Order: sequence, then structure tokens, then C-alpha cells
Amino acid sequence: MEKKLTSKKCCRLQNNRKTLILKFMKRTFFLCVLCFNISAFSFSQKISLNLGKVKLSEAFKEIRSEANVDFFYSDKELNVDRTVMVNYKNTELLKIIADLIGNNYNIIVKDSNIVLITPRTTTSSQEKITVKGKIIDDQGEVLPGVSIFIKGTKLGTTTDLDGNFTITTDSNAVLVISYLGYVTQQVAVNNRTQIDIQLKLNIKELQEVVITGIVTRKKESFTGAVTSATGKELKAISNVNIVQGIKTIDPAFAIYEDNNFGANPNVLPKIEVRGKTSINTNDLNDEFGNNPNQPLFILDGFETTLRTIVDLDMNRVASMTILKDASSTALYGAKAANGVVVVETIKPVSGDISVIYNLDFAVQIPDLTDYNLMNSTQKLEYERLSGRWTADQYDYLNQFEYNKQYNAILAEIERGVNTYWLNEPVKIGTNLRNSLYVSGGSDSFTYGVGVNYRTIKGVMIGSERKNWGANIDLTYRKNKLNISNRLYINGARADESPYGSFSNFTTANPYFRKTDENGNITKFLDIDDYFGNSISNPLYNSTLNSYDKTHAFNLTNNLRAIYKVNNQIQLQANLQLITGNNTREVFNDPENTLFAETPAAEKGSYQNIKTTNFGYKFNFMATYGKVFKEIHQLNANLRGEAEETNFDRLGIESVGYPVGTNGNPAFAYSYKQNSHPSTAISKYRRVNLLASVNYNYKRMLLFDANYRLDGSTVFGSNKKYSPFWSVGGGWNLHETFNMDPEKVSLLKLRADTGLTGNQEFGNLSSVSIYGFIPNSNIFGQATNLETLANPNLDWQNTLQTSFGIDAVFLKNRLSATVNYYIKKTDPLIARIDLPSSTGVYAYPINAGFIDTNGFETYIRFSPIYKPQDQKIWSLGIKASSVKNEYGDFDNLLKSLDDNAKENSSLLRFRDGNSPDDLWAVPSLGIDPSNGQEVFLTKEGLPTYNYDQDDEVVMGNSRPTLESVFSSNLRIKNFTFNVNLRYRHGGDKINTALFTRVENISSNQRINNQDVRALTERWVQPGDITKFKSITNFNATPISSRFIQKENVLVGESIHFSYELREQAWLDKLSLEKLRFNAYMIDIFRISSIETERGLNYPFARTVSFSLNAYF
Amino acid sequence: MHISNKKMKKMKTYLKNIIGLLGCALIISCNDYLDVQPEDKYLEEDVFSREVGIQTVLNGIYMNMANKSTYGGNLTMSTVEILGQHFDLSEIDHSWQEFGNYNYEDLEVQNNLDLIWTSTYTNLFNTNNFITGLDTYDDVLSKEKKNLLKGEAIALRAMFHFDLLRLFGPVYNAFPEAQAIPYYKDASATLTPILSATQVMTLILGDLEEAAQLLTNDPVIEHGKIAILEEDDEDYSFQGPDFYRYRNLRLNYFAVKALQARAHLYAGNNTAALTAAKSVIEDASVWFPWTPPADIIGSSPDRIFSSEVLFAIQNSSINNRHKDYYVDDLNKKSILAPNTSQLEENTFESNQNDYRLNSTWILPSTGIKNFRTFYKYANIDADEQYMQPLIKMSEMYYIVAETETDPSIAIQYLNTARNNRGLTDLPLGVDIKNEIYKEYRREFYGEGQLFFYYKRNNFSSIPNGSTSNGMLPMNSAKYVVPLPLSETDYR
Repeated sequence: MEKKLTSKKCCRLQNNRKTLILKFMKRTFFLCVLCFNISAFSFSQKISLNLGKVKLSEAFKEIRSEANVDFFYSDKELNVDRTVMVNYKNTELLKIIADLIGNNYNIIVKDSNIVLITPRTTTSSQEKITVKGKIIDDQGEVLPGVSIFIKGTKLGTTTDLDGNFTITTDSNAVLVISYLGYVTQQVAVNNRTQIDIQLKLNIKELQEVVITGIVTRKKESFTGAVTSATGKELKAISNVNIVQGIKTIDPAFAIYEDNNFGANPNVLPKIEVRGKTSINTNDLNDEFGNNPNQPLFILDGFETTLRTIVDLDMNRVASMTILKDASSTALYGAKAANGVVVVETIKPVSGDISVIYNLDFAVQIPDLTDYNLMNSTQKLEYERLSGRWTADQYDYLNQFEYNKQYNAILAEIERGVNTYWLNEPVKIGTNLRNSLYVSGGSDSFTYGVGVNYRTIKGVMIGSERKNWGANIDLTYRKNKLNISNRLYINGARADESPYGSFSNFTTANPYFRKTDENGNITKFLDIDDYFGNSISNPLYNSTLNSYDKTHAFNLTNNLRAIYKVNNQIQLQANLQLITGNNTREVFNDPENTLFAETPAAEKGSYQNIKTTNFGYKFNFMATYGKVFKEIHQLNANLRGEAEETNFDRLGIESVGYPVGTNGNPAFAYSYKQNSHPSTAISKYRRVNLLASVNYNYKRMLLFDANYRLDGSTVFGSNKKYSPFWSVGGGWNLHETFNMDPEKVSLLKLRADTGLTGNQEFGNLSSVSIYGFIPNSNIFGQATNLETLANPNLDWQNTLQTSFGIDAVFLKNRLSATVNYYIKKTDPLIARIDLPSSTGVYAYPINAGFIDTNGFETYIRFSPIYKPQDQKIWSLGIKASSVKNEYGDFDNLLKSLDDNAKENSSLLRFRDGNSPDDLWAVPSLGIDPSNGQEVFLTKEGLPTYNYDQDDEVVMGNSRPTLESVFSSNLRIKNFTFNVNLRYRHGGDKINTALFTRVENISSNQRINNQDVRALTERWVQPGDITKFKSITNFNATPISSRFIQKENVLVGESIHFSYELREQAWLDKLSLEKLRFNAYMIDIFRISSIETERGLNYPFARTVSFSLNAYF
Repeated sequence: MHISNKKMKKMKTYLKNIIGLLGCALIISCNDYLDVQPEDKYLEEDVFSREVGIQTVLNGIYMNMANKSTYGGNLTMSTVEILGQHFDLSEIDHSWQEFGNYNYEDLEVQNNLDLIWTSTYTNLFNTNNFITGLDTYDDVLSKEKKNLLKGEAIALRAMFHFDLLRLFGPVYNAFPEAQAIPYYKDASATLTPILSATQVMTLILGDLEEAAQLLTNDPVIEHGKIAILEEDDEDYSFQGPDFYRYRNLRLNYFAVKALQARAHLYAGNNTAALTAAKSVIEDASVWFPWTPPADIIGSSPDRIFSSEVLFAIQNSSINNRHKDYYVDDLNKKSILAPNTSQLEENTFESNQNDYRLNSTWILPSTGIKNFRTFYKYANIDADEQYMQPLIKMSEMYYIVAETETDPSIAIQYLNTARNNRGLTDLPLGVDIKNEIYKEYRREFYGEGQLFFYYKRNNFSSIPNGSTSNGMLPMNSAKYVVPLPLSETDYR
């Protein structure tokens, strides 16, 4: 009988294991940390023992000698004098013991040869019950892979992907739940069959980590200012690209809305982190340089381009970290002055094959609400009032002609002609992405293979971007060595809209018909031959064979080897190879109205520009980490790196195409006259050596220091090297004062200062360069000095100091971070024109400085906080404010200033002023007696004369406060997130008022204009208006009248998601989980000023959906 | 603390090795690694490491001179000539009218003059950089060659500054201490101060003197302007291709001496001017003889008197310039042509025998214009090396005539020059200054010298080009071109 029982038990144990293994095989998304220890002991050895009927003590004695194990038990608890039957053949030792002592005792194995035998605490009438439950974290997110053990046994299980577990145990057992990075909990079963448990983050042991791309640090011991987010958090904002998500997560990461390019998918956004560090002039960087105010992007440990980040498949993103201050960015030394954005992608996990499929779909609706144009009646009335149909006095002949034309137009309008041109080049855009990721492998070898394909059809017809990408991740681990290789291949094809600039449509006159009576698109717009060939039909060019397309292909391979010498020292080497090419082809059809005046043999043009790049980076790092006496914790890194980047460009242009050709360059008559192939070859090299130390004392006092020596070919040949450094300190108050973790789980003060640099300039002349004059004479060839070297050009470095507080209260219900920083970039680099007698133009010099200071606040509070029930509602506010100021220019940058004036830019380079200051002559408004503008002179006197010398700062284009309000609601499987952006107090030039209400020349009257040009301009004496006389066609200079304060509220992101699991039909499809998401991006915008946005390409509102399937 | 000493030691060795490795790698390779030579660009070092490279740089300076913005146009054919009232701008809305009105406030006038200033200074920058390069890369050329090229470059530097001084500087004989222009002797992006006219003049004369010293071995002295060399003369320093030949297309020794004469005369150093001019006449006449009358009035007339040209630039666009400015089918609003009655009656005193009148000024046979147009630069082609004269022998004769204190010698030199222009001898006792004045008006059409002649003499009135015989009052405000804003604004 006893025997039977024991065998049954063993069977069940084995069954348990079987189901576990089965489960494990079925659900293979995570690493299972559960170990089946029993099999690992020497007890698994099988012995044969045949003693017949003996005392239990005798049996133990025999086993002890046979298997070399010791038994510990209390005589009071275990009756060893009991007679037992010992007759085993090749049976597991543990089974024998269990069999002999019976069901009422626990066996605990200590070390490898001690067997502890204790009685079960309960009565013998125990019931086995099946306990089910769910494990979640304090955010209400389910935790897969959590270990659940029955206390006092080796029996246990792990949670599945949804955080669910099932375990069969005694009704009064205690479950031990443990998970890496969380506080281990013990829960008594107490006859419950459903137990949901919330694990708390173990802040002491392992809080969040900071991924800097070079080293990974515990956030608790880190003194820098960083913002991080998981891929999931980014996807809860937008599924279009991660840059959209980053901007919502941290308002210090600012994207500048480009009023020209709107929602064009082929134009990259302009980005700044914590304000400007450079003078942003177009000629500063050479053609391969980047925007010198753009942050550095790091993808999986290597520098990458903004284009790659924008095109990156969001579903592959594991985490994103923005490094903002000296302590965090000094690791990147010469490139870090604008901050660093570190993106890590998902790494493959071992286990059976797992498949994740994502479908993202977005709909973009062109946002034309900002346009406030005239209809045909208004347009004609405007023309009439502005005198277009009035001839000179007594010129009756012309007046008669004018009347005829006017009446012809009026007749058209009365026939109902009122063309709404804006609708013509736009449509609903779509954005579709499919991505698939397969991973798996054993403990020593894991693999991951992903493919993705995305098609974006922009809101302008024909504007498209197609991206495809594939990646193969392989990891091999053996003993102390870990080698991984990540290969990415991606390509893109970009097409620009054949409709050209959207502005052609915003200026098209509504009283013209789009097509002739047969419905054909005419080349010119006309009524009764009055206009002849003077006005092109903006639709016409789109009917031709013109194209503007770009092909890109990139291949990146990252190879990494990590060798763990021992517990303290680790060596790491990385090698990255990048190669790629980009070809842009532009064909303008010979019938394009552009060529109306061109000789026939030169009509039509084709341009081909091909750029190829190749680069490598190699770095080597040694890491040392150790805890001394459990109070001193030290981490140190030493790293060296070398890199080279090569660019090569070749461009040709041909002209003269027969009518009707498809744009194949073979049809060209010739190359462009007097042109020659344009080429550029450039090579940059950089080296650096980095040492960094991180120390903390009892987790109370923290210290960080970095030193990096950078060498570069970019700056002067006498200034090849530049050192960068940072020092930071932190104080964990909650540790020092032993605060109640229930109330204060984190309270940290930190401060740091350091020097970082900016290398986004391309190659600045460190050597003098000659060029051949394209001519020769009797003396042969001739050369000319083209670029004068400035061997003493200094690096443009930024000294930044940052202070911050991080706090987490009330068990994570309330958290806050406040940062304050000061940045000083000194000296700046500018290309200036020296007085002309020096013979030197666009000469790079060091001049002046920019001071930047600002603050950032992040506060999150959860009014509803029931993670157990998966009900959480959190509200957040993130705000940022930046101020910039120039200094020390003296008169050096006057040439830049004059250029700015000439280009009617309102920005000036002047000491004591901000780069974002808008300079204009103050206006007193329009004189009601004559419709002229009255200006205010420097002396404070009113005048009709505009004098640029009277200009003063009339505003600042940077908002005083940039903030994001967010609300995140989660109820079970349903989530609802809202992010609203509020921008307060920036000034803006209202370009619509400037170019479409005023500044309409007499020739431009034929174009459509803003309605306000009709309704709000001065017509007769006594009119009190904001805009000057309707019959005044002189150019209006920019005055303060056109600068307006803008407060704007944007519905940046609204997101719903619903998750389906444990549905019968899902099982049928062998689906583990299915998640639906819906987003609305930039869905509304309320601005205090009325202006046109998206001049060359309209903006769009986005509604998108995504589907995630886990197999 | 379980780690044994041994382990610690091992660890230390590891660290040492790592640091050592990285350090070594860095020190050995980084400096070389960071010396990147751009492949699509021609670096100074490459240029100056070979003789042919050095030649291209100097040639570049001459070639830049031929640009329309300076000697190839504005400083010879158009702007400066218009300031000298050579042309009739009376047509309504003539595109050069504001130039003739000395309206230095006009934007187009300003831009044009700014172009002269900036391109000349840019070329000066090239010149200085060339001189520095010659000294830096010392071992590439032989000493003779180096001296020759350096001499030319220094003389060019003086010439550029001299022409800028004459245009933008004060009326020299009235206000020699007035602020003039900056003088650059270095190729660096540093500003030098604006000097007074006398200071500038001292530097010009100094540079010319230095250039003359360096050019004492100029092959032009021994071998003449084409300087065809003896193949078998191995001692000859300037063997090789054409680069050391065609000395009249380079600022050669005689041209430098002639420049000295011109500059001394402008500075009022009459004796020095006389000496220099006489030396040129004495030494150079053998190589730069008077142009025979047959060549001037023949079927393809030598209107530039090419044999007399001491220094010309090779302007391969000269026919285009002719088309830009002078060709008879140009619109009346843009053509540069004189008032015919002023030209015939006033300038040439109705003397049809003057070789310069009928060869150079032709009434279009097509009848497209009813006045004579300027043919000096028509049909100059590769055979003539696209020569555009900047300094001619005749000027030396005028200088001697002007500065010689003995009137009988003076009239002798002037008459020699007149004879070779088809004019008869003048008797002793004529107003020699007035005769020289007339010669300057006839001789230097399209060469940019007349305005500077007027300015040097500070005439209070000059013939008005837009009338047949009217006079135009002049003053400093007209003679002195203000420094361009691109200079003054950024100082």
C-alpha cells in the first residue's frame, strides 16, 4: 500500500515535470529560470538494495554507506525503529528514501550529501489543490517568467507570457514568488484557488538601468540626467516612427515644425535637445555634415543617422534613452554637445521558435484648415478694389477693354466657376507596415531574424516612401565568451509628388476652370483668350512624365565579442562596418511649363546624383566592477575607438528631351551646356580614448567621472585633439536617512558639470585647397586658391552644468524629476566674410558664445492605483523651458547679420540677444487717413519711412514653455492614453499675413490670396485696419505687425488598445495573444494665430491602427 | 575578501596590458591616422611640390586678371574708361549712365566697383599666398627661376595695389596724407589697417624696386619678349616649355621698370619717373620696337600696336568683351561708343592721318549705327595670343616728355611718339603739357589710363564724353571712389 502511494507520488512529480516541459515548449517567449534541481543531485543516482524486512535505522545505515549520504532527523519526529521492507532494484535514491519514510515527512536535500527529514507541519489529512493566479508589476503590467515555488520544496513553476501560473500544491502551503529585480514575496495559499500577486520593484537591488550605449549603469547610482522609455511606451504614443514618441516623452527633445515641408514623408525633422549649441547657417557644414544642433543618435551601441532612426521599425525597439547632461553625454565627448539619443533593439531570446507579427496601418488626412483663401467672387472683388480693372483716368480705350474682361470673368463666376484648387493635389495618405520577427535557439546559441516592409503614401498625390529592412541577430555564448553579430540591411525608395509645390495650388485663381470643355487639363488657364499663355495650369505638370525619385540601400554589420575574465573584469570589442548608396534622379519633362522660354534643344532635363558611403568603427573596452566591504562600489571603464567615414558623390545633368519621353537619359540630346560632372569625395577620421569611473558609498553618495580625448580631422591641423570631461555627484537621501520605502522609495539629489563637443560640421578646412581654373592659356593650366586653411580653428565645445532631483513617493503613485541646467558653448564656429580687402570669404573662425539655460519637470501621479485589479489611472505633466543668449561677437558676425537681412530673415547675430530673437522695426499700425504704415524710430518718433536701423527685438520664436499633458488609463486589457502638447509664449512671423495679405505686388494680384487681403485692408480714409491700402503694391518690409504671440494646443496622440487572450478561436489559430491598437496623431490643433501651414507640402492628421500577434 | 593576492596581481597585469596596448596603439598611429588627404581636392602641399604646380598658381593669378571684373573688363574697357568720359552715355536710360554721373550711391555702380575691389584683393591674396609658398617650398625651383617668379609676383602685388590706389585713393597731389587703401603683404585671414596714400605709395615703390632686383636675370633682357632659347646652351637657366617665354604676357623686367615710371610720376617723383622711363626706352626698344604703319592700316590692322606692348594679359574672352561693350549691333542703351564729332574734331583734331583714328574707329558699313564704333579689341585671336595691352612703350615717351626739364629733349621724345602715330613734328615752344594731354586722350582708349591721368593732374574740368565739346566740372567727390561697403561695414 505504502509502496503504491509513493510510486504514485513520484509519477505525479514526473507528470508535473512533463506538463511543465510541455508548457515550456509551447510558450517560448522568455527564459525560464526554474531549475529542476532534483535531477541535478547525486540523489538521482540509481541504486539497488535488497535487505528484506529491516528497521528503518538499519535501512538508513545501509543507504548511507551505499550512496555516501547523511541523514538528519529528530528521533522524536521520526520513528526509525519502524520495520520497513527494503527491496529495490536500480531505483532512484530519493525515491527510495521517500518510500521508506512515508508521506508525512518532507525531504530536504542540503549540499549534495545531506538529507534533512522533517515532518509535515499539518495533519496527515492534507488536500492537494490547484492554484491559479496572475503576477503583475506595480504598473499593472503582467510579468512573464516569474518563478513560483512551494516553500520548503523544490516544486515550482513559472508564469506564462500573460503572467498566469498554475500550480498544484497543499492547501496550506506557502508560495514563494521571485523575479529578478523585484522583491521576493511569500504568499500563504490558505485554501485559495485563485491568487493574484503584485510584485514590487526592488529598488535596492536593481532598479531601472541607464543604457548609455557604451555602458549600462544602475540608475540609482547614476548622477546624470536621462529620460528613458521602453519600446512599449513609445508605441503607446504613435506607431508611425519613434521620433514622434520621443518628442512626447520628453519635451526637452524638440522637433521644429517645418512650415514648408509639412507632412512630407521624405523630409527629415529638425531636432534639438536642450536648445542650440551652434550657429545654424547653411554654409557652415559641408554637404556631408549634419545639422549642427542635432543630437547624436546611437543604435545598438553605434552611431547612426536620423534617417535610420526615422525609418526604424518601431516594433524592433526595446528601449530609448535620452542623455542630456554632462555626466551622461561625456562618454560621447566630441559629439555630445547636443545630447545623445540611445536606441536599443530587441535581442533574440533562447527557446523554441517564437514568432511575432506586427501590422501597422495609418491614415493621413491632409490638414487644409489653416488655409483661408478667397472664393471666386471674393477674388474678383479683391481685384476690382485693388484697381486691377481700372485704367488710368481718361484712358477710355483701356477701360473699355478692362470692362470686357471683367464681365467675362464675372459671367464665368455666375456660371458657377469656383475652383477649389487645394483639393486637387492631395488625397488621404496611408502608411502600412508589416513586420515579422522570429527568434529562438539554445542557451549557447540564439538567433533572431526580422523582416519589415513599409509603404507610406503621403497626402500629396504621388509622394511616397517605401522602406524595407531585414536583420539577422546571432549570439553565441560559451563559458566566458559571448560573441554576437547583428546585420541590418535596409533600403528605401522615395518619390516626390509630380504636382510640385503645394503653393502652386494655394495661389491658383479660383475663377479659372481646371479643364476645358472636354475635360482635358489645359496647359494654361484662360477665359476667352484674355490671359493667353501667361498663367500655367498647376495641374498640367502632373500629367507629364516628370519624376523625382531616390533609391537608397544600406548595410550595417555590428560584431561584438565580450570576454568575462572574472567577476570583476570584462573585455569587450566591437567592430562596425557600414556601406550604402543613395541615388537621386530628377527628370523634368520637356513640356513642363518651366521650359516655356527655353530653346527646343534644351527643353527637359535629367539629373542623377549618386552618393556612396563606406565606414568602419572599431572600439575596445575594458570594464572593472567590484564591491569592497559591501559599502564601496566601484565601476571603471577604459575604452578606445577609431573610426573612418568615406563619402563619394558623382552627379551629372543632361538636357534636351523629345516630347513624350519617359525620362530615360538615353533620350537626351546632350549634357547640360558648359556643365561638368559634380563630384565630392570626403573622408573623416576620428579617434578617441575614454576613461570613466563610477563610485558609490553605501548607495548613499554617488560619484561619476569621465574623461575622453578626441582626435578629429574636422578642425584645424594644429588642433587635432581636444579633451572632454565630466564630474558628477549624487546623494540618495532616502538611503541616507533610512526613509520608509512605503512613503519615499527614492529621493535623490544630483549635480554634474562637464565639457562636451560638437563635430557635426563635416570637414572644415584644416588645409589650404587649390582648384583648377576651367581654362588654359599659352602657359598651360592655372590654379586658384579655393579654401584657405585655418590651422588654428578651435573645437566648438560646450560646458554644461546640470542639477536635478529624482523622487518616487507612495509606492510609486507619485514620481517627480526636476532638472535645471546651464550650457555655454564657447567658442562658436562661424563661417564669415572678412572685410573684402582680405580676399577671404566664408572663412571658418571661432567667434562668440551661446549661453543656454533651462529647466525640465516631469511629474506623474496616479489617482487610481490598483495594480492588483489592473486598474491604473496616471496623470502626467512634462514641461521644459529653454533660454539662449549670444555673446562676444563684437562685429565679427556682421556679414552673417547682413546675409540674414538680405534674405529677410528676422534672426540676427548680436551680443546679448537670443538666437531665436525676432528683429523687426516696430510698427504703430496703419494710418487711417491714407492707409500707410507708420513706424517707430529709435528716437521714439512716428515715421512713414522704413529704416532697418530702427529694428529692435520684437519677439522670440522659442516658446517660453513647452509642455505635454498625459493621461494613461488601464483597465484590465484595455488601455487609453492621451497626450496633449501645449506650447506657450513663442512668437511667430505670420507668413500668411506677410505674403498673402500684404506684399502682394500688382502682378501677383492674379494669384489667389488670403481672404483677409480683401476684408481687412484699408480701402478709404477713415478705415481703421491692420493692413495697408488695398491699392498699395509696394513691398512691405517686415515690421512688428507680422510678429504674433502663439499659444497652441495640439492633440498630439490619443491611443486605445485592447488585448485578447485565452479565447478559443485564438487557440485554433495557435495564437498566444492578439493586441489591437488605434491612434489619433495630431488630430487637432488650436492656435491663437491664424496662419498658413505647410506651404510646399500640407500637414496631416493621422489616424492609425496596429495589430500585434504573438504565436 | 576571497580574492587572493595572486588574482589581484593577475588583474593588475591585465589592466596594465590593456592600458599599455591602447596607449601604444594611440600614440603610434593616431597622428598619422588623422592626417587625411582629401582625394577630390588639390592641396597646397601637392601644388608646391612640383615645378609645374607652382607654374599653375602663378598662371592662375594672370588668368584671374583677365576676368571681366578687373583688368579683363572693368579696369580697362568699361568702368574706369567711363569714369574717364571716353564714351557717350547721353542715350536715355543708358545702362552705364550712373557711372558717367559718378553716382557712387547707385547700387549697380557700387556693386561694380565692389567687384573691382574684391576681385583684385582676392587675387592679391593669391599672389601673397604664392610668394609665401615659393619661400616655404624652397627647394623645388632653381634660384634663377624662383627669383624670376617671385619678382613677377611681387611686381603684380605692387601693380594691383597701385591701380586700387589710383581708383579708391585720394587725389594724390592734393591730399597725399588722406586715407587710401590697405596694403597686404601676407596671405592670412587677418585685417591690415587702411594706410594713407603716401604710405601705400612707399610700399608700392618698395615692392617694385624689390621686383626689379629679382628680375635682373629676366630672359627678356637678353633674349627679348619671345625669348626663344638656344637648345644647345646648357647654361641657360630657363630651358623648358613656353612657361619662361612670351615675356610680354608676363610682368617682365621692362614692364616693372615702366610701372616704376608710372608710379613715380603719380607720386610726383618726376626725376625718378624720368630715369625709369628713359631706361626702358633705351634698353627695351630693341625688343619692343614701334609698330610699322603698314601693320596698323593694313587689311588686318594691328590696332593694339602689339610690338610696343611691354605687358599684356592674355584674355581669351577678349572677343566676348568686344561684343559685350563695343560691337556695333549692340543696343544704343548699352553700347560704349564715343560721341563721333567729339572723337573726330575734338580728340583727333580732324586729323585723318592719325593711325589710331581710322583703324580703330569705324562707322558701321551696314548703317546699323550712324556713329563710329570702337574696333580696338575686335578680331584679336589666338595668333595674337589674345593680347590685351596694359603697358606700352608709347607711355614711356609721354612720361619722358612730361618729366624732362629740358623742353627741347621733351619735345623730341613727344615727336618720336607722334611720328609713329602718323602725326607730324611739333615745333619747340608748344604747350607740351597740353599736347601730352591730347595724346593720353587718343592713345589709351580701352586701356583704363585716362581717368587716372585726369585724377593725377586733378583737372577741375574734363571733356564731357556725352557731348560733342562740352566740359564737365570735376572734384574730389568724383575722382575718389569711396571704399566699398563690403570693406567698411566689416571693419
